[in-house]
Amino acid sequence: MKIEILGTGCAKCKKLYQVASEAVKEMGIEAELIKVEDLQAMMDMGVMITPALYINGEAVSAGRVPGKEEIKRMLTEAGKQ
Amino acid sequence: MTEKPRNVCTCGSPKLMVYSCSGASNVGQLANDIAINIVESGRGSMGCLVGLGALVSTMVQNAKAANNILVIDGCAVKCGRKTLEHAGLTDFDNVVITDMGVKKTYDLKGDRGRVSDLTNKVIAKIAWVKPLTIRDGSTEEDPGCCGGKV
Ligand code: SF4
Repeated sequence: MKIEILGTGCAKCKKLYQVASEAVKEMGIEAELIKVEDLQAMMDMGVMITPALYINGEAVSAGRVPGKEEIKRMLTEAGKQ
Repeated sequence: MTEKPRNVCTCGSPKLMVYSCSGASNVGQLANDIAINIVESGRGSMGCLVGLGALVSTMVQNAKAANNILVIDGCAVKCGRKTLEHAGLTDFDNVVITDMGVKKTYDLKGDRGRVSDLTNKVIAKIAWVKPLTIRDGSTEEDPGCCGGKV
């Protein structure tokens, strides 16, 4: 599973990275966590509001830090596809 | 190293996300121009309506993260409104250019002289959206966690 956290490196982005890492660890799943901090890369993807969370290339949230349980649900959902 | 584009803070939710139908008529193109004017007035950001129609996940999440949404449609067919509804968005304001006294034609460059007057009319309908006066180091509500510094 590929998880991307997009943000310019601000507090909310860091928090999202931390919560997503914890969710992955607790679920015991194989996942690659990638931080995308390059503004141009974000613009190229169409992101207008950060932090943005992508799972397997699909945006699942933007502009907020979802809770750990919500991220776990998102990961479970993505795992089914 | 590439220089960072200026004034492109993305870490605060935009107060207003504007979508225009940008349709193939005078009023569709006027809707597009008005949306641009609203962005230039500092009231919000413009989103890609066609991306919402295609259910591109990034575009859907951008819209969901906005505090307020305005959809500008050219005519009573309301393609913009229908596109948002198709993407599962229901909480938005919608204005229609033909309701403002412009007759629809297929002249794509028609009625350009009315853009600023129509922009003012649309802005009057969303009077609760105040322009961001200072972008750099802004103290406006939700300037983002960077403080609006990027
Ligand atoms: S709302 Fe009217 S002008 Fe806009 S795209 Fe639809 S038909 Fe064309």
